[in-house]
Amino acid sequence: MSIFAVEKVSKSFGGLKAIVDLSFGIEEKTINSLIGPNGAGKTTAFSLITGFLKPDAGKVLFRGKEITGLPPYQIVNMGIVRTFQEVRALNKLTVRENILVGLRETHEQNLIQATLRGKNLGSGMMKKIDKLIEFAGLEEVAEELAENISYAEQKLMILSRALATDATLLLLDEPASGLDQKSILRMMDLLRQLVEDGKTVLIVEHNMDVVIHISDYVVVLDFGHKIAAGTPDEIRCDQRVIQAYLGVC
Amino acid sequence: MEFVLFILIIVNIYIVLTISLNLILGYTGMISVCHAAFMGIGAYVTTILMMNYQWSFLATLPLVLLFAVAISTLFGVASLRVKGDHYIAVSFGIQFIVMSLMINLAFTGGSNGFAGIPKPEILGFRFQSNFSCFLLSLIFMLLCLWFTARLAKSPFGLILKAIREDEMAAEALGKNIVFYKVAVFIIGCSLAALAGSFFASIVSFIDPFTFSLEESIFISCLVIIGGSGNIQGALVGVPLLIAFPEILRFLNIPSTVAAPLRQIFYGLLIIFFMRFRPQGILSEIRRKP
Repeated sequence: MSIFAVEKVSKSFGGLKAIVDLSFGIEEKTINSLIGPNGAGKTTAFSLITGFLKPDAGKVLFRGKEITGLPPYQIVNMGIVRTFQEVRALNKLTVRENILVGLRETHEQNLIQATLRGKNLGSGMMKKIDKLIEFAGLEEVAEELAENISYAEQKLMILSRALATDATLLLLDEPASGLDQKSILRMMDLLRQLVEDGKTVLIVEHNMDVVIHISDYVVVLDFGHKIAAGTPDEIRCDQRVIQAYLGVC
Repeated sequence: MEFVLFILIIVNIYIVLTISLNLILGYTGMISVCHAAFMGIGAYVTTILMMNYQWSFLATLPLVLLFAVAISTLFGVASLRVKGDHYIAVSFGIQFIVMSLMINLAFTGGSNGFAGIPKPEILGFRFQSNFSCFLLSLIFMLLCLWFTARLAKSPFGLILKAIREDEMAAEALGKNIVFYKVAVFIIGCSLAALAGSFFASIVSFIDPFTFSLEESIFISCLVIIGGSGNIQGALVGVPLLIAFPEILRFLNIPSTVAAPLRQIFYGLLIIFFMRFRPQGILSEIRRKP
């Protein structure tokens, strides 16, 4: 059974049908890709899943529970986190603080605890942050402001920050875009490592090399419709996909 | 000497107003122009209970908190659930409603306000002299400073900054934005109301115009000049802006000239800071040594 499923979800903006009857499911501990030409509705699908937009119709299910229309923070606490294509680093905070804000423990702390403990985080939280910094290889820039680190480092930082929420399903919007070849390979390694650690990943990605190499399962969108789904090899040779998007086989 | 003590009392009370507004404005990035109104709510609740119902000063404080929490919750929940900057307009509205109630209600003393408010009394000790009042205001200020600084440095404070930097990013990390905004609004306004209580009882005189929109904007200036997003900024900014203009009194200048001179001084200082040091005296981000 799928850990996560979208069932007949639709969304329109005025007269524009952004997503039409979208259904797909993903298995636990796999890497899945959502691809399609610009404007196909990939980011909209992410927003519908994570509560930033409410679907006009259809259901979103996670671990057998319906999560359709819940506010974003509740969906994160149930175990689904997203990142943004435009990074959205917290610029005036350091890398370490960015990750700290992501920690699930920080919003479980009440005001009295916060006042009494102040900046003393306790060894549990400290260790967790150190581990996440180490995971992304950000030790050298941990105390820098997020606005002063490189784009590739920012991308790694928002991945660590998302992981800090303890979510088990990660929705990553173009994790490899704008990265050089070395950083892309690094990012792919990290994603594989996450799956080994028990996470499930869904990415939106334009870089077909990345998609083909990393995905267990691919969903192709075009003008809001799902036009194909399957393993990377199946997708590569699907006639409709070639017409709509790839142009090569 | 008495005059200096009086100025120091005012400085202490304004430090509390500034740090509490800093949580709302500097940390969370919500522009609020009703801080003086909440100071006024505290001042009037304490005054009316003390003068008309003979309550002791200390006994009025829980009721002041209750009032401030109730009113800020009401307006906070109504306005902060909506995304965007509608909140500025709402805070403007709160400021005018409170002000006009102070002027027009039957039991608030109209435009004249109240004079001869009893000095604070705690466990039988009456703070009669300026020196004892100064110590009282100092203790009050230090307690508020401790609480606010602690809160600001905790993960709670960091989440407030995250909301200021990028609301959507904070939301995507599992933070309930509405909860944090309403919570910080309630905390900030409650501290302002307490500051108003101390102000009323120590100064012994209040009228509605002490808590005007101009005063709210002045407190915002104190936040910005001291350093928004840095609680300690108030310790430098407030004495500078409140005590320094008073020096004019010691110069041989007639009061008709001194008052406008003070306004000009404020105006110039604000322009100067916006041009040369927009981050305030103590900036939020400390450079590494």
